[in-house]
Amino acid sequence: MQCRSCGAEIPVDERFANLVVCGTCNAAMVLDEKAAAVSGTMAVLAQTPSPLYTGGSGTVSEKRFTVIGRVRYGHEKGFWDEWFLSLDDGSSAWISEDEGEFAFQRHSSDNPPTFAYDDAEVGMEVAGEDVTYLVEEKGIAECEGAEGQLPFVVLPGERVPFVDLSSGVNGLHSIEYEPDGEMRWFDGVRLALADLKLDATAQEMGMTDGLAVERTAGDSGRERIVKTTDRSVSLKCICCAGSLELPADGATSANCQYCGVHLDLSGRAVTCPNCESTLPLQGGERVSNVFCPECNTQIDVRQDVPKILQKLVNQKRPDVPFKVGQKCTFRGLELRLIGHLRYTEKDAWGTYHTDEFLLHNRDAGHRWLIMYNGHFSFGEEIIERPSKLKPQNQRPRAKFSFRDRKWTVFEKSTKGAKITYVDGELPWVAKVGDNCSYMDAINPPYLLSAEWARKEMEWFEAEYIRPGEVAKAFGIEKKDLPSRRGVAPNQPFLVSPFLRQGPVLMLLFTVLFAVLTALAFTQPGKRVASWTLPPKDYAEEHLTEPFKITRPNAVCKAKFKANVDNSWVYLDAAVVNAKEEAVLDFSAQMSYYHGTDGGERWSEGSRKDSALFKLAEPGNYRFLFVGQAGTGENAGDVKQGPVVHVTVYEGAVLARYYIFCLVFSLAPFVLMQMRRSAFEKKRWDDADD
Amino acid sequence: MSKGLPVLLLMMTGLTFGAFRASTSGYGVPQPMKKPVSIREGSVHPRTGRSGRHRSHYFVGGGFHGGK
Repeated sequence: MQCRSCGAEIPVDERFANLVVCGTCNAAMVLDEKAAAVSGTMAVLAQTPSPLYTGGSGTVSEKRFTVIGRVRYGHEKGFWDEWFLSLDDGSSAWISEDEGEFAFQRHSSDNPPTFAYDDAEVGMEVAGEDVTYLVEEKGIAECEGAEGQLPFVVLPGERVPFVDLSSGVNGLHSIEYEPDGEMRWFDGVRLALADLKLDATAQEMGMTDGLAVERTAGDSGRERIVKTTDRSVSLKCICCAGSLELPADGATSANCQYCGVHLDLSGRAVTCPNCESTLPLQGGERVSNVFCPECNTQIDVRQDVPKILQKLVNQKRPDVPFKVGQKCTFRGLELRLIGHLRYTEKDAWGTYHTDEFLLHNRDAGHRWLIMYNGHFSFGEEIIERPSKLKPQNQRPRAKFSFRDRKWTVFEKSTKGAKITYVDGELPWVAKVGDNCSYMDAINPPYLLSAEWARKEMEWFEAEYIRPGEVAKAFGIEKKDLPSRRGVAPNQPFLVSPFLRQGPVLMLLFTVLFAVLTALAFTQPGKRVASWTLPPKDYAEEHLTEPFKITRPNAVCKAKFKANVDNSWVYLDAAVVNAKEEAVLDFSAQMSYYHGTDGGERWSEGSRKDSALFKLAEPGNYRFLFVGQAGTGENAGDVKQGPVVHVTVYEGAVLARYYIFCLVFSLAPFVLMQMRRSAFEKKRWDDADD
Repeated sequence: MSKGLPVLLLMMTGLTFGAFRASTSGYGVPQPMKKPVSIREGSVHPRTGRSGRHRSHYFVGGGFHGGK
């Protein structure tokens, strides 16, 4: 069809289109059964670093698609794009794109859960037919503009209340509330960029390589991009507000001579509405607000004309080791620190600060560097959610599985962490004084965080990184980083490889020594003699029958056993050689008492005893015994004493050395476990259990 | 693998052999007296009395047992 405003040719897919925006003059035309009528003018949509573009094609969920339209919605914290797709099977669908995250959704009439917009609360569970949904976000979207063809009529400024719900791991569902009370239900899933198999990206088509491209807008259009190639503008450093000396050769970067930060000048620049400083933005086209370091004013840059969000006259920069605008490289990914938020929490024990640094890479999007008590974690927002998990209801130490990891809830704060410092650029509006609640779950070194405010919930996964890696990433000295205090929630228990592997090796030896100890106790050697001594025999000195020792330096063991009952028997023993010479002597005693005291049974002593001795020469030996017997402290008539059984073994093995080695080899493992326990105790001391 | 691990393995192997040696050789157990004491002289031996030999009481007064 031809544009009713300028006459340009406009492609229209009559199966879906109810609204067509002319690509030449941006006239918005409503199509009805009779004719197309110009209904208004759409804003020129600034190109974002999106790989999608109207007219692009690809494959998603094994379906071929062509992008035939786009509508951009703004909300309190930023904006997102909805790309309208014509699928090859004759149906239509949407891809929503918000801060580099994608979702594939289709309009559905399948029994959606029904509830009023005002009844929705972030974190609320909603029962579906066979699935439970969790309200993740609610808000009022305002149409900022559109292009191409759309299946419904929407004009700039039109406001649509919406609620986003999640289900399962990556289900994403949206409800849009129409003015007439109707609800539109969209079913879908979150996608990674890799799931969008595009035939060609917008970048490959040369459509978004335009940060330095000067775009002009007609009177009817709204231009988001402020040209940056005009070097007559005096730029201020985004970090320290120092005036930048611009290179004359047209280079797209410059070093700040005051703070040393190397700034990218190829993006757009904004002028502070408070002090008129011009700041070169470092975070690409997604920047929603920026902090002016010249006058301490936070500026909303979502509109054509930047607006003051808040003045933070007394805001003082916290003592942190990084600067806004600073470059860093984490795990091979070149990033630029573009924003800094400080969250502060207070409780009865003190005040706690967490500094979160927003890092940006034009292709990879955003990453977070979190600093708490000198500990660092590096992570990013994730699109999956733990299914059937309501973070608001979690208690410390509760367990759940997600992304093939077992997580333990570490902390939940519903009192909220308050933003107390904002610096640099952010892709959504975050103001000093804003609160958010959170739940942290850990699987060291990983940290899984759910953060929610009144209207939105987001999930992040981060990994603990050591200060050395952070220092290397920023090209600074490790000593310039704050020293670590306490144990971080997701800090792994790390020891040197030797301290990790050594105790395991020692534990293997512990097992060996345990076996040898057990053998030493249960295998006393070869039995060479055994006697039963009635009391009349040991009442006076008694020489036994001879026994034969076959090996030189034989280790022998004599075992004694007597059925003493609340009494004792004591034997002096001497080993006598064939020349009737006592070569060594020792004593043995058996003393056993038992009874009941206060209803409790007790016993002490033993009916057995043993003695080890060594005989240098093989040959025949005998024992010489004499004994005493009695009860308590009194020696009685020895002839009334018990029968004593004596057994002699040759080739006994001493258990004492194996026991010593067993304790020695077990000690490192025990010490390591104690150290680990102390570490874990320190970790959990901070949790609200 | 840690560089110290082979050293530890060597040390523990040595300790094992040392413990085995000490346990089987009876290191630390009472040794025979260097000058054995004859029990022939003195009183009549109760069992070998038929030989007519005499011996002294080896345990003079016996050992001391404090009761219990």
